[in-house]
This record gives sequence, structure tokens and C-alpha cells, in this order.
Amino acid sequence: MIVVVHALFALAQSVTPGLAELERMFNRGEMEQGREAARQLAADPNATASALLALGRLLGTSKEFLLAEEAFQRASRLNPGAFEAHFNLGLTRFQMRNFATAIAPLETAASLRPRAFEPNYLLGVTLNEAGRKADAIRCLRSAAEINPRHPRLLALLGALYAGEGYSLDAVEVLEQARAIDPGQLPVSLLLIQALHDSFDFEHALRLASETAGRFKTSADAQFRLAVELETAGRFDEARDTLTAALAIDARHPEAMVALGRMQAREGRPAEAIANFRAVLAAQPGNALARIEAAKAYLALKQFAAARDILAPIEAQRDPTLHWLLSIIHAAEGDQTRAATHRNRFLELSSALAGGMGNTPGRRPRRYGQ
Amino acid sequence: MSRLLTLVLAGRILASAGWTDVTKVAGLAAFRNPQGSPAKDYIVESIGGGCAWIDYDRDGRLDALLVRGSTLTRLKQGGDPVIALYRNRGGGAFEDVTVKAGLVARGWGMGVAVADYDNDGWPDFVVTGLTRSYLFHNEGNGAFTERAVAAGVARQGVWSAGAAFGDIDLDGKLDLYVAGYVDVNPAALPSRGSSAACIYKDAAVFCGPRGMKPAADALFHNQGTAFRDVSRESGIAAESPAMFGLQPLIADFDGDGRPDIFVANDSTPNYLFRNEGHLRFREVGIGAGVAVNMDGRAQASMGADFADYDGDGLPDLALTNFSEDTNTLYRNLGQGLFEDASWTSKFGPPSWLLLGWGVKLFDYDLDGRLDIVVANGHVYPEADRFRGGSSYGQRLLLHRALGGGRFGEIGSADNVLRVPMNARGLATGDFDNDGDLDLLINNQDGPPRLLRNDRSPDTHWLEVALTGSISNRDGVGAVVTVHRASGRSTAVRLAGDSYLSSSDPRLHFGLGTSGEPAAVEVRWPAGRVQTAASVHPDQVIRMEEPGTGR
Repeated sequence: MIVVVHALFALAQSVTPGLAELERMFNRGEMEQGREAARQLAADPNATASALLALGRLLGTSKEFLLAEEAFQRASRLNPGAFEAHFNLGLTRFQMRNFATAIAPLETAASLRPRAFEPNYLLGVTLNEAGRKADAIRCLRSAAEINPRHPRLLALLGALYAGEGYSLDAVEVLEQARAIDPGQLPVSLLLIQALHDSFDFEHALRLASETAGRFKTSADAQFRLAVELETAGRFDEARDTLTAALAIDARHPEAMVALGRMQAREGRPAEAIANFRAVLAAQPGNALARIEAAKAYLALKQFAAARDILAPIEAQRDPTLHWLLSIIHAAEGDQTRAATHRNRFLELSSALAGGMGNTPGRRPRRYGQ
Repeated sequence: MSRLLTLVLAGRILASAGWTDVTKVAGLAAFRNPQGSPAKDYIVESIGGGCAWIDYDRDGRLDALLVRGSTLTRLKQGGDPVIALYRNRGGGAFEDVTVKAGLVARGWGMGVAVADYDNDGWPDFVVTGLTRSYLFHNEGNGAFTERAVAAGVARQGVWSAGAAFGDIDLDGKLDLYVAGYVDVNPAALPSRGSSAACIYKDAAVFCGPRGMKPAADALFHNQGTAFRDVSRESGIAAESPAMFGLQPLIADFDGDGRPDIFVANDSTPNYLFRNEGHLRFREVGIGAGVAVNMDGRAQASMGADFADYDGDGLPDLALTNFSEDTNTLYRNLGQGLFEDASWTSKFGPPSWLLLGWGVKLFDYDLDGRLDIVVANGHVYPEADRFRGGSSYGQRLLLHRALGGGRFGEIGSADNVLRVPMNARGLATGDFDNDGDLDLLINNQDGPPRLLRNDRSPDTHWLEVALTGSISNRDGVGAVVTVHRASGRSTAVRLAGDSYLSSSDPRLHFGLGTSGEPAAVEVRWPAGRVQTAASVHPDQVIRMEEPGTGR
């Protein structure tokens, strides 16, 4: 879409004779000569804003982003009211993944054309990339008012809502996105997660089932269904579905950890360890896999192996980790360290949030309320 | 034979193996256990109450005790009578003798534990409560006197939950452990939704227990007619921080002959206090494997029972927990070690959407294997809002033992068991003396339920009534094993278990269909092992501890 926007502005402008020659150079592959000529054109003290804009667009389509940025920047200074100069400067910086510096020109562009979809949308995308999630939601909401049926916008907005805890808002926009294009697996997966986070487990399971049926070759879709089946207490079906996910992608890390946990619960710790080890071979920093593997080693009374696998994460503040370390040290005769980890476990367990049980509670949140 | 008589006989035959709700015909349906407001705005409204079987008049028929709560408004005026006593008149009928028995103490009742604490031959009981506890001494003339203050166990101002009697120093006198739940002031409770600890899923609900201060547990050493608080010197209070205690069990968890103390703690790790002798305890829950489940997560432990489900002679530990979690079955490996067998036994998964309270291991079908019953009901009325999740009213779970240490849940297929309730306390007892165990359940706000178990006529049974002489008179802590050609069954005499409840003091054994004589072995708390050979089935056998010298 962004390239399309670029081309749109390029077609709307006239091209000077110097630019025509420059374009021919790039087309002929004379890149160094072309760059030198572009630098001269950009440095021309008599260059007008429109000429610099045209130059910038040509450089942009030739993926000469640094030179294009320079041209757009000069154009925006020469004509601060030129929407195209600010927008293209922001777009170029976005393409260069300089998100923080892309924000200001895109904000200017959006303020110059507040009813234009592209600057608002691109600004929202850029703010998201820059980590400014709340600002991204605000911009994307503005863009959605202009074009409420833009599936990628809705998908991104839904993901942002979900990430910020506005799961009910996430459900609404993701359902819209899915209605527009039901063939987008990421949208369905996001929607299932949002439904789950909204505690509408029945709907989440129904959609997960539909999605797994539609995307039979997707390990992610099968894994998501397994999660919802487990949430519903349908553990045998969850195990079968995890097995199906791993038949599609034998190295799906989340499915391997989940299946390993089930195997350990069902009294098959050796099989579980094989799964956890495979995950850790690819993701040594996977703390969950380490903790689950340690539990399985304990079931086999292999205390040294359990201790070794926990060593990289021993400093973390996880009550389960300290419970494991207490057992391991006690089994190895180090009662002092066992007591230290026991007390740490009791302290962390007592400080857990929530009211009763292990169902996490969250305050009802709606965007803007 | 007339058509009517044929139908009546058919009805009797149909009822001859299964469950019948006899609450109304027994005369228990008028009882109410008020627990605050229907909206459950505060945690104090969600926890009580217990129930118990007691043969208070020693006529050989079990009488029913039902704990009663109150409301915050009425508590300001002293609350409601904390207990109701229903005398078993025989023939399946009970009569309310609460006032006649002098049980008029008021407050907000929570749990009950029954035992003859002064060894006078008459069963007494303790009732725990929101603002204090009560000790009802059986005068032997059909009446009780309330002696908690004089006996030193009133726990004024403390919210006490479950209680259990046990002879921790084996001096022949029953000591008392009382679990403290939350440290609250009923006049200044936090309002619903007022903090992160007051959110369930996305609904604003009552606060706690997380985010609140736990109330301390207490261990009382029996001095004869009064008790001495030994919580600190015993290590109970000193060694481990207070947790949200709900139900203690006093039994020998490690097989060393000394009673240990297990405490089911809500939303925090469970405690197992190992008895090291000389009134000293050491907390060993983590090492023993009973502090948390196999996932390493502290569960919302509510009820607890201790009995040998797999027939290896070692009692195992069953716990009930919150919804979206499984109930837990800890298999006893011996030497004080347990492993979480919730999944391998298939006991855990059926409980996933249910919130469990009372739990008893008992042989409902007399096939010689212990089954498990669990009483359920959510704490939050808001649970009904969440589709595909839990619900406020919930059915019973009945896990039928299939052999090989595995269970199959059959409650959902039974018209009586699948009726939704908001159950809390549950006690098993053979109230009609027909050889099988019936269920007494105390519900929040509504009437209780008395479910009569009608065994198959071709099954056999044995009930063992204990009378200690050197040990405590009730034989609490005794381990009874019934040996027969087809196997053995082991049971432990508890006094305070399930959830805030006490069950039939007689130990019950299903003997299957063979009808063969059995050998009964009693290991008394004082250490002596007594055997009765060739005991014929289908009777209550009374075992009296040889010797004197308590």
C-alpha cells in the first residue's frame, strides 16, 4: 500500500529534463553516476519545492532513500504548507525504519489534511512501530472514521486494543476485520485471543474450532484450538489437537511446551523432557520450557538435571521457580538454600494478585472510559 | 398382586440402588444457612458453613448438625443461632431439638468439628465463626453448655474456618487445631471492585482473600477440661507466615506414629506441620509434595480428606479447589512423601469448571474401593455471566473408583446428584443404619440436602465403632484395616475434615458381594495393634482398646 501511495504522488507531478536523465541513469544501472547527479540536483540553490518533490519521488522509487529524504526535507522547508513534501518525508523515513523521526512530518501531513486516510493511517502505523501504543490507537481510530472498512487498519487497531487491555474493543474491530476478509488467519487468531481475554470462552472456542477447520494446514490455528479446548476442560481433545499441530509443524514451540506439560501430568515425564529440550535447543531463553523441564526431571528424581536447566533463570521472581529450587536443594542435602528458596516461594506466592483461585482478574476497561 | 402394590414394589426396587433426596421427608428442609446478601458483596458471605453427624444422645442413630451463618445487619444485633441440631427419631425422620438442647449461642457460624474432648463418653463439638468460636459440651442429658471462653478456645475477634481434633502428644486427650482465614473487621469491609484483589475475570466482586491479611491459625493443647494455646511454642505460628487457612486435618501423614497437621490454605501454599514430638512441629509442605500442585502453583484449597484410595495401606490426601483449576489428589508414597496424582487418577479433570468445597473418600457402592464425592458451588454470583465457564449453582461430583487407582465421574448422569446447589459443608454418615453412607450437605442461603444412599442388596459392609481407653475415648487418629481374601481397606478416624465438617464417627468399609468374613485390625493412637478375626459382614463392630491408663 505504501509503495502505491508513493507512485500515486509521482504520477501527479511533472518531471524536469534533469530528472528524466537521472531516471535513465538509474534504469541503465548507473547507480553511482545517478547518485552523484541526484546530489547535484538536490544541492541546486535554485531548485524549487516542486522540483525537489519530483526528485525525491524518483529517488524513492529507485530505493535511494537517504537522498530522497534529503530532497523531501528541503522541499518541506521551502514550502511548509506542501502536504506531499511532509507526507513523503515521513513515508521515506518509515521505509528506512526510522520511525521516531518519521512521526513529526507525518503529524504535519495529517494536520494539513485531517480528513485524508493515508497520513492518519501511516502515522498510526508509525507510532505503533515507535512503541507509542496509546498515540497509535488514537491515530488509527481517526483513520478508521475516514475508512471504516480497511482490514489491515482494523487488524492493527484490534491488536493494539488487545495489547493495551481493551479486549472488548478489540473484539469489535477484529470481528469487523474478519467479516470483511475471513481468509486472514492472523485476524482470526487475534480475535480468538481477544475473545479469550474478554472471558467469552464459549465464543472463543467456537471461533477457534471454525478457524482450525478452515486453516487445516496451520499449526498456529490447531494450537489455538488446543488452548481453548484446555480452557474448557476438554483435555483429551486438547491433547489430540496439539498432536495435530505438531504433525503440521514438528517444531512449533508453544505446542511442544503445551504437549510436554500434558505428558508430564499424565505420568510420561521422559517424553515431556524430549519436547522441552527441543524447544530449548531453538529458544534457550524460553523460561517456561525450562521450568516445565525441571518439573519433569523432578518426577524422574533427576535433581542435578533439574538444577542445571534452571540455572540460567535462577534470579527470576517466579514462585514456581523457587518452589522447584527448594525441592532440588533439599534433595541434594543443602537445607540452607532449600530454606531460602522456600521462604522466597512463600513470599512470592502470598503476594500474587487476584482475589481467589488462579483465574486472573482484570478491571473492565473500555477505550476512552 | 394389585397393580398399585406392583408399582410400589417396583419403586422400591428402583430406589434400592442409588440416591434419593430425602431432605423434605426427613424434616430438614426448613433449615436455612443465611450467608449475608444474595449479591455476596463481602468475602465473609461466601465461605460458611459446615455440617456434621453426631450421635449426641447415644441412641445408635446419627443426628445432624447444621452450621448457620448470619447477615452483617443481624450480626450487629448479635447474629443468628450458630448451629441447629436435628435429632434422628428413626424411620428417616428428624426433629429440630436445637433450643431444647440449649444450643442458643448467636453469631455467624462457619464450621463444626465433633469429638468427645473430655473423654466423658458424650460427643461434644466446636463451632467456628466469623467473630468467635464456640465449644459445646455435651452434658449427657440431651443438653449442651457453651464453654469456649472458659476452655480458652473462643478466639474472640478472629475469623476461624475449619477445625479438627487430634491427640498431638498422644496423652489420651484430644487437642484442637483451628484454621484462621482472613483478618477482617466485619464493620469495615472493603467494598466490591475496590482493588485488584476484588476482580474476577472482568467483573467487580467481593474482595479477597488475596490482598487482605490472613488470620492466624491456632493450636490448643488439651489440659483436661480446658485448652492452652500452644501455637507459638509448638512452631505453628512461629515458623511459617499465616496463610488463608480453611480446613485442617490431624492425622499421621508420615507413618511415624505421631499425628501431624495438614492445613488446606486458600490461594496460598498448603501447610503440613510435621510432628517432631514434645509439642514441636516443623512445616514440611513443600518437601512432602503437598504445598502446591504438580504445576508448582498454590491452589485455592478449600476442603480436605485423608483416606487410602489405592488400597496400598497408606492414606492419601484429596483437596478441593477453585474453578478453572482441578481438584487435587496427592498419593501417599510413604515416609511422608506425596505425589500429585490428580491427572493420572482422572480425579482432577472433571472438576475443572467447578468450585469444590466438601470432599469425602467413601465407598458409596460397597465394592471395596473408595470413591470420592465433592460438593460444589461458586463464590461469585457473577460466575453465571461468563459463557463457557463456570456457574454459580453447581452439581455434585461423584468419582467412582474403577480400580488401578483411577476414577470415572458419574455424578452428571444421576438425576439426584446433578441438581445445582451452592454447597459448602459435606459429611458422610449412615444415618439410617442400612450399611451404606448417606450424604449431608449444607448449602449457602438455601436449605440443606440429605441424600439417602440405597445400596444394592447383594453388597456387604462393615462399620467399625471405636472406644479408646489408653488413647482418646473416640479413637481419633486410629488406623483401621479390614483384611479379606480379595484385598484390604484402610481408614483413618478423623474428627474434623471435608470442609468445615465432621462425618460418621464409625469407620465404614464396603466388602463387595462375596459376604466372606473379614479380619479387622486397629492401630490405636497409643500404639497398640488390636485384631478381630473372622468378623461377619453387615454389622457394626465395636472395638474397645484393651487396657486402661489414660
